[in-house]
Amino acid sequence: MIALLEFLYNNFIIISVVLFTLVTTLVLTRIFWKEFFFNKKLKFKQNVLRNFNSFRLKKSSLKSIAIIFVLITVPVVFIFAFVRSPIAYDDHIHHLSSKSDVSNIHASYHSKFYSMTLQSVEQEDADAILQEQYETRTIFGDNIDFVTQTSDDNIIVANQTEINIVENDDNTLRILETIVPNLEGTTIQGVFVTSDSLFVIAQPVFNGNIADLETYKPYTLVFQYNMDTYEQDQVYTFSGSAIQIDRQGDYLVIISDHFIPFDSENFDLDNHKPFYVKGSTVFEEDYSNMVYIEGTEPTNYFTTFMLDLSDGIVETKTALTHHDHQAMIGNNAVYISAKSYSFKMASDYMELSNPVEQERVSITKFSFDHRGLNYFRTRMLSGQVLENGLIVDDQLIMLFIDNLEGTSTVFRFNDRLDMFHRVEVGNIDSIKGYHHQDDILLIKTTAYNIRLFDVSLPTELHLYDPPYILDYPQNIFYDNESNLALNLNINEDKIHIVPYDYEDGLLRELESRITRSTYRQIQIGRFYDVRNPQFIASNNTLLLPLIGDDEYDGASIFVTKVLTYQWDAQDRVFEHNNTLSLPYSIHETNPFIYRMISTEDLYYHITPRGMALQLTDEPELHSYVIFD
Amino acid sequence: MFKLKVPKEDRARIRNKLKIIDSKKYQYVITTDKDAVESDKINIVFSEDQAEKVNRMLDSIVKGEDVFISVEGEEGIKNIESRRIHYFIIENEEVVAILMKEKFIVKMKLYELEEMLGNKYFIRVSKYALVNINKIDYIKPAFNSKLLLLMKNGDRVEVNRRYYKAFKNTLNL
Repeated sequence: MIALLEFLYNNFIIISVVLFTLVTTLVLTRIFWKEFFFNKKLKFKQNVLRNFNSFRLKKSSLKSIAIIFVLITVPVVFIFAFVRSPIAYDDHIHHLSSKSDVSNIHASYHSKFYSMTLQSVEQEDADAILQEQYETRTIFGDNIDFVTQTSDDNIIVANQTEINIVENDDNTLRILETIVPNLEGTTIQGVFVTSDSLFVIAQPVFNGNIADLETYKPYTLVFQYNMDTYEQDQVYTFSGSAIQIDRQGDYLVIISDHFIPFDSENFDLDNHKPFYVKGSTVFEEDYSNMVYIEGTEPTNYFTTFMLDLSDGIVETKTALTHHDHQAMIGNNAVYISAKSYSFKMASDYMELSNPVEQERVSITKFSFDHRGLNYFRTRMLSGQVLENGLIVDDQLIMLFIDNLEGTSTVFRFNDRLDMFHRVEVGNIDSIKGYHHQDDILLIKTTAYNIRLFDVSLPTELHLYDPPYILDYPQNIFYDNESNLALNLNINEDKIHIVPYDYEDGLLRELESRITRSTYRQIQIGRFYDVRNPQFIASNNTLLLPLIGDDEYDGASIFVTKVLTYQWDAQDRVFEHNNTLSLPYSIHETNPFIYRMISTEDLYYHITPRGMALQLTDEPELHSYVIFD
Repeated sequence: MFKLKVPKEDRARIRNKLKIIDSKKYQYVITTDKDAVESDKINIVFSEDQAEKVNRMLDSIVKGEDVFISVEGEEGIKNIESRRIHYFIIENEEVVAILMKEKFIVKMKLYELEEMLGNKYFIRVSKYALVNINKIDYIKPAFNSKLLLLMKNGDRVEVNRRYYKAFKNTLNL
């Protein structure tokens, strides 16, 4: 039946019907006009001959008019019924101007893609999408963490509910100030400082209860405090499920999703517009500030909020695109990649079982600088983007694409989104993680496989071969000077640090592997942050925090233990030279969080519950404070 | 044929009374103003209260004296006024005059009739037919660039492609 419909609804028949109607209309109109013209002349002539008659059309003529009217009406109705005004794209992008543009784009896409079965995002699907959006944790850039340091070397530590500013007074730690923001049910996610302000980022946490989907609304709060007085200067609210938050120079950039449940009851598009609140003033996103990325399913507002940290001005830009996308902030820009379809001709009114002409990957850039936040460009490539296939940082813009022929290709772009190099990378299903350091990009393709790329050349992309098989690489960090690469992996209840000689893309495993048991392995597996262990290249020291056991008042308790290893660059081995137990009161297990800040003379061991100071030449703690 | 030259405000009323259709090419000037006469035309100057007489005069100018045609019917030969004839047509190699309900054989060639009546209100529409314009009720174009004339007596006469242009020109005056 479907095949028959496809046969009937083919372009030739449609075009033939329209042409036949037009030609018939033309011929009949000409005949009718001649009839009208001749009879008018006839009556005139008869009147001149003083044979007086009034001109009137005969019934047959009126019938002709009716036929012509019907014939003209057929294609007009046909066109109005099935052919919507086309969406005009300017280099793959459509600039919106009104609410109706959003509705039209949605209807147009819907009529193309779902013409066969009238599928739609049903309520169950909509709930699942919403739940996934709400549960996705925000990725914070490297400049935003729960620990930060001020220009006068004070250390700011946040936990879920408060912020403590700690100073080192002659190697004795002292809490200068404790700030308790009015969090309104949110929890603190990170802090950062500028020269005169402290910024605190907080978000509500979705409880995973599907019954709360209608009432729960995700947002991000940003508190701004004066660094001299610790008074709150301003508070901002940014709507949506934040995907990533990063500080880029003088700007705080938040990218967030707002799923649009078109099929829900009492749906009103105006109720789903992105917005931000500054103080008590609400600023809704204007439709004229939105763009639609060609061929993407318009189910989501992807909004970039750019807060100028120096003057508090917020700029926004929104892309109407699919909710399932990949987006990253980097290099003074926001990049988003989403699946895009090009459709078969007239597929919006033909019931095709497969209306898709070509599957494409769109990559769109929004740039920001002192001139503001602006849409920059969109590129289209054929294929499907791999999971986590968009990689962006301050030096790289890359896209891993499955070309749908059994192999994958990585594309490298320049700032103008011009693709300048591509490398075939074989059959890769997804990207599990990446690490870019100096000239080397490591791509983790499975639980065991990594690929090394040389990205030193700005115009090329060199893939080292063969791929390396490592044990559960959680992260790899390396030091060019000492030719040392370290693979941190977590396997069952153990943490492993595996050293490699590294040179020109070649890894050779060394025998000096560090293997330590740890407790709460499930939590470790989920929350062990790659920022926890640190290799300090300046003095060849590795600090590895673990959860260990200790005794307190005769009972067994968990504590944070920090193991110190010295790297012997000559013999290529690690030597364990100290184990430090942090006081139980500053041990944080839920989740396990530890950060370390080092100077030439001392280490700060930091958790959200407290902070300890250790002199590098002493095995024991020198001073510590607890955040009550 | 006529050109009506009267004050603008009186024009519609007088034209209605005289039933005058202005022509671009005219030989007669009909006017209520003696100063409006044109020297190279035939001028009729009248006052409005004489409109009825003028109207009859115009009728006789246009229609002129009727031409009688000798026809042969069941009752023998008789003369009938040409204005009563709807059309002439050749049937069985004879010229037949068709009237409202009757038809008569005419002992003349069709081209002779055309010469005799062509300057009145008859027009040749095909090799076989000569039609009285005043007796055409309606013109119906056909798909094949022909015209079909629906006569007042209900008959249909075809305008041949060869005579199409001449027919059109005659209507255009």
